[in-house]
Amino acid sequence: MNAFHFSDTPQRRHRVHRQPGSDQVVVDGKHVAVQALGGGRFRALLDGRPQQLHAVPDGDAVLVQWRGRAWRIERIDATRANAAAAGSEAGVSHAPMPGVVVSLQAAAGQRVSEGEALLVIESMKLQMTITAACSGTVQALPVAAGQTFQRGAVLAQVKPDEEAR
Amino acid sequence: MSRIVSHLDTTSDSYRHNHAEMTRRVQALRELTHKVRHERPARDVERLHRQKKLTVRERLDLLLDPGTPFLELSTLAANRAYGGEVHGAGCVSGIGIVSGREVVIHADDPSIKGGAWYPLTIKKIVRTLDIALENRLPVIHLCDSAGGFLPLQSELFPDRYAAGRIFRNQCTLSKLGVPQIAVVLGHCTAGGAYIPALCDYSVIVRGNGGVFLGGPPLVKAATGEVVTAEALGGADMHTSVSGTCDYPADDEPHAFAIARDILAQTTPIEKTRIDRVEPEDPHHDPAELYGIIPADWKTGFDMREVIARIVDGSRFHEYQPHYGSTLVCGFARIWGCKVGILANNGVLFNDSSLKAAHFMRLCDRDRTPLVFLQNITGYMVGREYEERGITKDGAKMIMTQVGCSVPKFTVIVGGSFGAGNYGMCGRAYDGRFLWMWPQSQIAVMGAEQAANTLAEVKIRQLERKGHRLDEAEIAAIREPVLQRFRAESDAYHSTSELWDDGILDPLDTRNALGMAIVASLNAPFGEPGYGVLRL
Amino acid sequence: MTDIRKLFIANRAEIALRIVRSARRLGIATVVPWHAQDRHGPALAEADETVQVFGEPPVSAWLDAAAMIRAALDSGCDALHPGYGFLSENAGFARAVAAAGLVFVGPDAAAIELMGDKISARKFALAHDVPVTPSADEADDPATFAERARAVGFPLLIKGAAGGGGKGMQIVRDGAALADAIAVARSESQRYFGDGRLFAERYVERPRHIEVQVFGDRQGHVIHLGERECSIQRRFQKLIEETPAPGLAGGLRDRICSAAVRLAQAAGYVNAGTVECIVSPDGEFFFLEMNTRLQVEHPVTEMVTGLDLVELQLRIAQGEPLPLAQADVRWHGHAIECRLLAEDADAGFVPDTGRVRLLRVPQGPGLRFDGGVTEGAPVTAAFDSMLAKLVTHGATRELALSRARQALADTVMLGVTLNADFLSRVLQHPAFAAGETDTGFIERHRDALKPAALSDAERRLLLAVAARALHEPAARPLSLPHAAMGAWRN
Repeated sequence: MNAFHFSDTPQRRHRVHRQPGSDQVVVDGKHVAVQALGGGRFRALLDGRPQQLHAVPDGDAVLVQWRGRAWRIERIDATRANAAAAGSEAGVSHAPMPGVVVSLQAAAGQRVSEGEALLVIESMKLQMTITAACSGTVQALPVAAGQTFQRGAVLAQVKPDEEAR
Repeated sequence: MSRIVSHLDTTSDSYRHNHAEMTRRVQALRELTHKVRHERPARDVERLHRQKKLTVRERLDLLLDPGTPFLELSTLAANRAYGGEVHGAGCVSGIGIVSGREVVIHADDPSIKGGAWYPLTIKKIVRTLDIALENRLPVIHLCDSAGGFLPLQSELFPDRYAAGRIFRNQCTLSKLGVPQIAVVLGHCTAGGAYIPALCDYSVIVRGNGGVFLGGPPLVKAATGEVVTAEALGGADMHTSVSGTCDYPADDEPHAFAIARDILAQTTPIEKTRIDRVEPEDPHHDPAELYGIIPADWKTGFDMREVIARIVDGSRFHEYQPHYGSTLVCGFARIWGCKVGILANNGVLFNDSSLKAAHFMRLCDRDRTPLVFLQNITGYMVGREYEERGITKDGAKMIMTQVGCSVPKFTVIVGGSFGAGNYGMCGRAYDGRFLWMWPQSQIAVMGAEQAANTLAEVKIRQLERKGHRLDEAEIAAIREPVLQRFRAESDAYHSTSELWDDGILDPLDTRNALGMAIVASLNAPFGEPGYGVLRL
Repeated sequence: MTDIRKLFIANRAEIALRIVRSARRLGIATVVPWHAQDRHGPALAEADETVQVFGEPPVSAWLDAAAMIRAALDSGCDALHPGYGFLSENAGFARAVAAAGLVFVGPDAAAIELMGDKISARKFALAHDVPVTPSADEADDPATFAERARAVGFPLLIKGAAGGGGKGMQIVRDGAALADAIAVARSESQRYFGDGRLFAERYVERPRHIEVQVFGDRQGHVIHLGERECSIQRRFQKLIEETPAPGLAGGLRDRICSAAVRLAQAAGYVNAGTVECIVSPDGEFFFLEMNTRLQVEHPVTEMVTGLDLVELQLRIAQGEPLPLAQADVRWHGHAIECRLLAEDADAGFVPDTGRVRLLRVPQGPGLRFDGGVTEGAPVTAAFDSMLAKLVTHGATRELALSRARQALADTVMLGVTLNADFLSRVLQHPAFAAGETDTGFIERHRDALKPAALSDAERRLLLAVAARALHEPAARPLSLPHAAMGAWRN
C-alpha cells in the first residue's frame, strides 16, 4: 500500500494498494479493477461504464490522461523526511557538526537552484559542501571564511521560490 | 483419494435441532466478539480522538494489505476475568498479510484501560511471540500501552512466563533471524521501552510516541528534573540524537506507510516444502457442520462427517479403516496442503492408541503436518484393558505424539477430557495452534462426574459424623460444584484464560487451518524421532 | 515560369511538416533544418534532406538570414519557403533570398515592406477606401502625440508601430491613464521590437477579429478564399479559429472580403496573404493589418474550400496563374481549429516544459491533426509553445464543434501540460455555441471556464490507473491460500 497524492493537492493523501498479479487496486478502501491494455492504455469502470485512460510513469510519479484532461500523480516515499513538516525551516541549512567555514560559494541575493553549492565547510579533516535545500534566492550567509561554528548553527538561508501552481 | 461418502440426513429432526442450537451458539459468539472488538466507553473514544490516535482496528486497516485475510487469535481473552471489562485482554493479536508477507501482529488497544497490561495481557503477548518463534513469522508491534496494571503486578511481573518473557522472546526471535518492527504510537515506558529497543526496526509518531525507561513524573520524582515527554523520549530526539528509534513519522498513517515499506524490503525466506497442490473447496457443504454436532455433547457423531466438510474436495484416504475404529486416521488436503488427520470417534482403546502411534510416525517421517480433531472423554478403563496394557498403549501414543517434529494443529470439536487431551495434542503438547468450537468442553473430567465425585466425598464425610442428608441437602452440595465445573469447562472460560488460541465458528475452521498450516511452513521442521516406547 | 525542383523550408515543427507534405505531392524535393535542441521535429523524418543549423538561443538559427540562405544553397535548393513567424515577414530577408537566386515562396519584398509597417499599411488602406480605425501616429509629430491620441477618443489602444503579437499594447479607457500607458507601451516596444515608436488607435469594445485569406498571382489576379473568425484569444494570441465567421451578415462579409481583395490588388500582392480586421458589434469593420505570409490557421480555409494553400503558394511562386477565378471558389460546411499549446490554461496560461512521454493522435472523419512534436520530443522554453493544431470540419457548425470536442477528449499527450481541456470548455460554453465570440471572450467568461472538480469516484479511478502504471519490479503476487481468501476475518 502506498500513499499517493495529486501534484496540485499535495496535502491530500490517498491510500492505494495494488495487488500484484491482479487487476484489483484498492483506493481509500474501495476496489477498482484496472485492465492494462498495453502501450500506456488502461481500461476501468466508472459507475459501471467503461473508461479508457492513458498513463505513463515519470520517475516515482505517473502522468494520467482521461477524456482530454491530464494529471500528475505522485507516490509518496514514506521513509523520506517530510519536507512539508519543516515548512518554517525550509531553505535553512544547519551545520551537521562543529567545524570551520572553508569558503563561500554563493552570495546574498543570488538566485540558486536546489542542490547548488552554497558554502564549503571542514570538520574532523573532512570537507563537505553545503547545498541549497530548495530553489530560491539566498537571503543570508551569516558566516565568513575562516569562521568556526557549533553543531546546529545556521549556515545559510535560502528563500524558497513561490509555487508556480 | 476418494471422497468421503456422507450419511447425513439433513431432513431429520436431530439435524434440524443441532443446526438450530449451533446457529444460536455461533450467533452468541459473534455478538460477544463484536462487543469485544467494537464497544468502548465513550470517554475512552473521546480521549483517543483528542490525542489524535486511531483505534486499534483502524490501525490494522492501515497496516494490513487491503483485500487480504486476517486470522485474529484469542479475541475473547479475559472475557471472564477482571469484571469482563478488559476486552481481548487489552490487545489484538493475529496473523495477517503486510506488504505481501505473512506477519504476526501484536497491537496494544489504548481504548481498553489505556492499553494497560493485565496478567492475561502478558500471557497473550507471550503466546503471540511464542507463535512467532515456533513459526518464524515476522512480528509487528503496535506499541501504545499505559504499562503494567500495578494492582496485579505480582501476577504479571516476576514469574518465568510473565512480562520478562516478552523481551526474552524478542531476543530469541532476533537471534533466529526473524524481523521485528515496532510502531511506537503512544508511550513505551519502563519495561515497555524495551519492545522497540529490541526490535530490528522502529517507527515513532511525533507528538504521541515516546520511549523512556522512566516517564516525566518518575524522572521528576527521582532527580527533580522537569522535562516534557517529547523532549525526554519523543520522535525527534530518538531518531536523530539517541538512535533508539529509526524512523520519525508525522502521524499514524505515515507511520504505517513506513512500516509497510520496511517490511517490503526485508528479504523473504524460503518456506519449508511439503506436499502441496492446487486447493479445492470441500465437496460436501460446510454449512451442514452446524447440524452434525449434537446439541448435547454426550451424544456421539461420526467425525468423518466433520472431516468431509473441512478438507479439500471432501477427499480422505483413511488409514487402517477397519482397525481401531474409535480413532479415525487418514490423509487429506487442506487448502492444497497434505495433512494427516486424527479424529476421535469414541474413547481410545488399545488398538486405536496403537493405530494413532503408527500413523503419527508415518506422518512425522514423511513430513506431513498433523491435524487433531478432538472429541474425547478419555482412554478405556477396566480390568480387561489394563491387562491388555491400555496404559502402556496410551503412553506410546503420547510418547510418539510428543516426538513428532512436524507442525501439529488441534481443534477441540467436542469434549476434551482427561488423558485423552494429552494423546490428542492438547495445549501442553506444543501444537502450533489450538482452537475450540463454541460448544466445546475441556476439563479433567465431565462436570457431572466431577460434581458427583466431590459430592460423594462430602456426603461420606458427613455420614461418618452421623449426618444423613436428604435429597435437597445433597442437591445443595452438588449444585454449586456442578455449576462451577460447568463454568470452568466451557470454551469461553478456556479462551478467557488463553488455554486456546480462540473460539472458531465451525465454518471458519477450514480457513483458520489453511492459514495456520502455511504460516507454519516459515519455520524448518525438526528431525523426526521420539523417546522410548514401552512396547 | 520556373519549376521548383528542390525547396528549402526555413522553419520547423508543424508548419515544416505541412509544407513538406504538399511539396512532396507536387514532386518537389524538400530540405528541412534542425538544431541540436530540436531534433525531434516530425518534418525531419519526412523531408528528403535535413541540414543542421547552429545558434544560441536555438531560435536565433532560424533568424539568421544568411545562414538560412547558405543552407538552402548548399543543399542545392532552388526555392525557399519561410513558413510563418521567424523571417517570413522580413523584407530584407525576402530580398536577400531573391538576390541569392532562390525563388522566395511568398510576396515581393516591397509588399512585405509596405504591409510590415503598421503605419504605412494604414495609410495605404485609407487611400484605397478600406476603412481604418481613427488613429494617431507618433511619427507624424511626436510632440503632439499624446494630444492627438486623446483626440482619437476613448477607449484607446496604444501600441508599438513596429510590433505585433499582442506585445507592447496598452488599452486606455480614460484620459488620466494616458501618460502612464504611453510610457509602458514605449518601454515594452523598445524591449521586444527594438523600436519604441508608438501608434494610437480607437479601441473597439467587444471586437471580433475577422481576417480574409487572399491570394494573388504574378498575372495580377487576386482572389479571396473567405474569412476566418479568430476572436478566441488570450494575451492577444489566437487559440481557436473558425470559418465561416458565425453570425456574420452576408452583406458585411462581402464588403470585408472585397475590401481585402481591393487592398491586395492595389498593392500588387502576389502569393498568400491575410487581411486582418476588427468588426464592431454594430457591424462596422476596420482594417487592422495585413500579414504577408501563410497563417497558422490556414487549415480551416483549406477544409471548407477543399484547396491546398501551400500548393497554391508553390504554384504561384513558380509563376503559374491562380488555377481558379473568384467565381470558382466554393465553400462547404464549417471548420474549426484549436491550437494545442504547452501551457497550464487553468493557472494563468503559464507555459510548461517537459518531454512528450506519450502521444496519441485522435482520428475520425472530418478531423485533421497537424502535429509539431513526436513522442519523446523535449518541450522547452527555447521554442514556441504550440505543439499541434487540431482542425475539424462538418457540414454544420454544430457538427464541426462536436467533432472538435470529441477530438480534444481523444487527444493523448502526456509529459507537458496541454490546454486541450480548456479549449474543450470554451467550445462547450453556451456563448461560444451561440456564436457570441469576441476578443474578450476568455477574459469575460473566465470563471465559467474553470475546470470542474473531480468527484471522489473519479479520483479513485485516476489513482487506480496510476498504481497500475507504476513499474514495481519487487512486487510478488500473493500466493494461495491468501490470494483466494480475500478479506476474510474470523
